[in-house]
Formats: sequence, structure tokens, C-alpha cells
Amino acid sequence: MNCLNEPVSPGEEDIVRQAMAGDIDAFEMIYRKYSGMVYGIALRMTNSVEDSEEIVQDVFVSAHRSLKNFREGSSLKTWLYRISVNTSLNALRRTRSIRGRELPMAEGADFEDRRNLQAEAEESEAIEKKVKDLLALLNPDQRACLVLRAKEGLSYDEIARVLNVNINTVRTRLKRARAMIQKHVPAS
Amino acid sequence: MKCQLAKELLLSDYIDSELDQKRYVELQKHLKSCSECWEVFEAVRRTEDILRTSTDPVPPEHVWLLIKERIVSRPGYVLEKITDRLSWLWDEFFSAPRRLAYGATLATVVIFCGIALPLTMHFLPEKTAPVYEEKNQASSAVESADSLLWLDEEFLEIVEDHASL
Repeated sequence: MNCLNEPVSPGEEDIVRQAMAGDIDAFEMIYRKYSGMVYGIALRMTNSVEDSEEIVQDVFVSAHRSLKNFREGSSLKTWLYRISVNTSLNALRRTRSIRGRELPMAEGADFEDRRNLQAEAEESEAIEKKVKDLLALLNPDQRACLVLRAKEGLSYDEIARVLNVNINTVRTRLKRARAMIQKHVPAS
Repeated sequence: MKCQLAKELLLSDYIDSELDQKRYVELQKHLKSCSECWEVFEAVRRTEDILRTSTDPVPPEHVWLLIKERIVSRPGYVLEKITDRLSWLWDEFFSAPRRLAYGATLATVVIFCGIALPLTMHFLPEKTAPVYEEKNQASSAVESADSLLWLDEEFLEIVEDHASL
């Protein structure tokens, strides 16, 4: 489980300070540590490898530019979550092709055989496909909430802070996201 | 607890462990007696498991190279780097404890100058007096030599006048 309140570790604090002073090698270390997390969020939000690579670039270029505004002692992870989710949402709104990409995947998703779900879940590729299919059913805001909650393990309060929304909005979005998924996943 | 409320809680607070103790116990009780709600809970849990067990892929290596290129080629990057470095140096060498140390050193120097120099000056005049005297004597000698020279010039003029007569 994640904890957004966890402070930056002493080693990481030095790296952040060096990166703030313009040390590109220190910034690369930050990239190596968090790029997987950022890429994972982008992939789940956009469902596109190309868009996700673009988002990872945008997130880290933007992070580098605004690193001087980063408050020492606050959580680097929370900060990167916020940039990642906002960049992903902006990319989705910009392309306006969400529906076009979502529907064929949702329609093509095979949810009929729920009895085989557990067996399929043992293989990571199958899991990734299921994740894509499930998330494709949701709108970007619901998707962001569900990814941060179910995948990243953030609490409602933490999600509210990352997305800069009310905690009840988080609750409602999660409820609707899961209801939507259950509607498309027939009961066994 | 009614099924509608139970299903709403199952889709959010219950599955996310955000439910208060009282509601949690009520819902547990309801789930034991309602197979329909139990099925909803099972389905939600299964999809949550799928989302949770998926792994974070690593972006391809060329992504970092592109990021680095974008950072370095950004207009004003070099200037920004210099100012950042200078600001870092300022912070490093003029941090709060160091500022305190520098201030204490400066105060010591000022106090030393304020006390020690007047004291030194107080004990110096006896040695410096003969030097002034010598200097005064020398300057008066120069003045008398100048007046002699002026007298010589006047005497020559008188001699020249007599000669012409």
C-alpha cells in the first residue's frame, strides 16, 4: 500500500536537492525510480502505448521545469501522481478519441466466461487485457479514481488531494465506476 | 440494512476499507443473509484483484533519451542551469548556521577594531613626534633656501643696472 504522507527519504532528499540544482544525473535517478509508476498510470488511463510514452515524456519534462517549486520535505510521489494524472486527463481530453477507442475494446471484451477468470488471471498478459477491458468502460475521471485506488492503493483523502476534488466526489466516482464494470460483467 | 444501501457501500467504502465500524458490522451481517449482495461483493472483489495484481511496465529506454533531449534543448536551459547552480551555491555557503558563523566573525573583527585601534593610537604619539619635528625642520630649510635664491636674483638685477650706467 502506498502512503502519500510518507516524507522523502534522506537519500532521496539529497537526490531531489541535486536535481533542483540542475544535476541531470540526479534527475535521471528520479526518473528511473518513478517512470514505471507514471507509465503504468498513463497506460491505464489512455490504453495506448504511444500516448503513454508521450505522457511519460511530458510528465518528466514538466516535473523538471517545475522542480524548483517543489517544497522540500513533501512527498515526491504525491507530486508525480498529480502531474501524471493531470497530464493523462489532459491528453485524453485533447485527443477526443476516447470513445472511439473505448467502445470497440469494451464490445470486444470477453466477459462471458467468468468461471475461467481466475485461471486466466494467473497469466500477466491476460490480467493486463482484463484491466484494459475493465478500464475502457469508464470515463477518464472514474478511471483516474479507480487506478489510484485499486492499483496504487491510495485512500479517498489522498485521491482527493491528488485530483484536487472533494472526498465525496471521489466516493461517487468510484461507486459509479464499479457499478459500470459490474453492469458489463455478467453474474455467474 | 436494505439491499440498495448495502450495494452502494459494497461498491465504495466497504471494498476500500473506508467504512466506520458500526456500518461495517451491519453490512457483514447483511452479507451473511443476502446471497444477491454477496454475489455483488464477490464480483467487485474479483475485478479489484485483477486491477491490483497487474504490474507496472517499464517505459522503453528511448523515452528517457527523448526526455533528456527535450530538457537540454529547451531555450534558456543553460542560463537556468547557471542561475540554479549559483542559487545552490548561495544556499550551500550562506545557509542559516553559516550565516550565523559569518556574522559572529564579522562582529569580532568590528569589536577588535573598535577597541584595539584607539588603544594602539593612544600609545603611539611619543614615537611619532620626532618624525614630525624633522619634517618641519626640513621644510623650513627649503623655504629659507628659496628666499636666498630670490635674494640672489634681486642682487643680480642691481649689479646689471649699475653696469649699464
